[in-house]
Amino acid sequence: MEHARPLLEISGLRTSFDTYDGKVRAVDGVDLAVHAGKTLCVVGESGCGKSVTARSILRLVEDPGRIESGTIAWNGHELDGTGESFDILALDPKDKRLGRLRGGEIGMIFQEPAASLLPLRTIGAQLIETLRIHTDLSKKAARAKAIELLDSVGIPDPHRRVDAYPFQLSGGMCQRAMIAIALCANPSLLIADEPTTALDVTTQARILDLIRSLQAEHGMAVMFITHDLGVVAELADEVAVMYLGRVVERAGVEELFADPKHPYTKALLASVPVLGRDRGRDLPTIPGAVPNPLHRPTGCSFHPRCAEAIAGRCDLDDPPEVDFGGGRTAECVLYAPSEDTEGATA
Amino acid sequence: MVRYLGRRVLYMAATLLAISLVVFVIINLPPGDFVTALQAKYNQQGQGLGPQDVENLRVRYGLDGNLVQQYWHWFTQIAAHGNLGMSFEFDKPVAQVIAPRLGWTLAVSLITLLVTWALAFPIGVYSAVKQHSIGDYAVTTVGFLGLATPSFLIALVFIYFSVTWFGSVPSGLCSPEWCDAAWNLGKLLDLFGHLWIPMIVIGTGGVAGLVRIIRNNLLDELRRPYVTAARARGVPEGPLLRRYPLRVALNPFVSTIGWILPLLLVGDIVVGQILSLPTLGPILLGALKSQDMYLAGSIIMILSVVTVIGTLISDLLLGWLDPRIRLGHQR
Repeated sequence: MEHARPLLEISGLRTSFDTYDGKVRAVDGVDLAVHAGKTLCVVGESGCGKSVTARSILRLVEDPGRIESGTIAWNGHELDGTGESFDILALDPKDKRLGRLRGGEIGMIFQEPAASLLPLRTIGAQLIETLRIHTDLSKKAARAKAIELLDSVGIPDPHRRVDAYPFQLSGGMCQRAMIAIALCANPSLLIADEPTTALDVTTQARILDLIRSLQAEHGMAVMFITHDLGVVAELADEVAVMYLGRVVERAGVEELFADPKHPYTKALLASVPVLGRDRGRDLPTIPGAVPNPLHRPTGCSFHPRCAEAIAGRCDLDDPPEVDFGGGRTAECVLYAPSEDTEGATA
Repeated sequence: MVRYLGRRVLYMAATLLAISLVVFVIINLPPGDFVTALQAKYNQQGQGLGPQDVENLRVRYGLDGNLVQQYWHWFTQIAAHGNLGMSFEFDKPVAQVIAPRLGWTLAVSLITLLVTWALAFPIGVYSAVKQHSIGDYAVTTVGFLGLATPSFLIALVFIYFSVTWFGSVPSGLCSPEWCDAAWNLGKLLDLFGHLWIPMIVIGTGGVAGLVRIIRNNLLDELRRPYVTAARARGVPEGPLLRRYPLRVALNPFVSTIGWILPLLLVGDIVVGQILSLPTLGPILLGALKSQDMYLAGSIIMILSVVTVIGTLISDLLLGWLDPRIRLGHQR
């Protein structure tokens, strides 16, 4: 991508979980970049490590999970000229910069909005608390600002709702409140970890509209984690496809849908029903299931399910990351610049 | 809130009515009654009671008529006059037997309870927050031992060591020379000199149990999404722990008040007996052994009332602490 320096740069991120059965490498060498003002969608099946990647950014991975290596560079200060870039993973847990990142410069929303709010405190209390952490508003001013924020995320009757408890609101309303909390300090990046998965379809569409309009209004970048390709098509500028802890393909959204490179991406796109076209026929599926990350296949981890796998190659060697230029990459041997296997399929 | 309170009080009254029935049935289960017991006593002394005397006595104590009438008499006596009936063994009204011991029981139990909470709460929180640390393992191990050792065994061990080392048995709550004295500093100091033994004996199991409750509750809550979400918006760790998971973990703690109150009143029966504490526990034990049914029934009835009141208190506290309970029906 020929943009300026990205706002957030993840490189070589490895996050693993120690379980009784062994070490699960949930994120196994992920490189990602989020550019200021743009939307990056991270897409993949359940368990591919997309949520863990998102949580690693704000260092929210909990025991028994551990970030093993990698760097996450935050260039927000350099981009707006207020300070230097730093590596989030190198910060001391007590470093003030980490506290400012969490909720200040990076807002985050989650999959289960109702469970992400403490049921014993009103949404206003939780919003005002966050406001007072990141701004120096007085209690009264913070309450006024809270009502204003609730209004801006489309919660009707915010004067009354500010004193509502999360269990008195619907899931969609809770997610709106979470968005208000995430945006209260005008962050330059919003991380949305499957924010619409637990909501019904109409609410889903409204929340997506809200995120899009708020993004336009605030000029913030969005990192959107989802398994829904429809959402990707609607929101993304750039897309990263993840499979078993690795990014297997990176592309602009149009290129991805027009010309998917990686066999996994192709299979994913083929399995999305198209109105009219798929009437009366079985939807293509990806054979098999996601392998247990404890017993990752050797070579390319997708090869057991891949229609284009090359025997003796894909099951032995790690696939190379092929750079097509313009930020397009695919981690697949099919595009490797070696003559003997070009175009061959098994 | 008023409606919530009204509902609770109504349930409470219904529960008490049911309990009074059960207690009355228990009182009347053994053959005979207070008058037959009196009759036997006088017969032993050689002064027979005539049928007319027996009849008069029955009328006097409300023991004439059938079971329903007797229940009505007993119930109205308690409800209207607070009259709990007579104790055979002590030959005086039950109220006079219970009253002097109530203060001591409450004193011993309340102090034990406060110390138990003061110890258990920080230990439990520490043990949850630093799960899998050496401190947590130590606390958990000691907790298991404390929970597994019956308190009467600890009491016996105490008596054994105090006899072998000091040559005396620590019994009661005061030394003989102070027991009947008026309250002054000397008596107070003497009380504290005695109080620590029942406190340790009764408190050990309590602390161990509570530590486990708090630790498990808090561990459950620490893994909830709202904790991660609060951390993600920059809430510092200290306030995060206090304002989020600890508040939720407090609820089961509050709801234990319901069954702690009656325990406070009886004290630990067996420990009370072993250490000769002037609490209600040993009295209840004695009354059950000698079939002193009005005394036993009254103690059980008082305990039930206290249980119901304790439950009401914890319900009110829970309603105050947890809006889900307070507002749950107007979702």
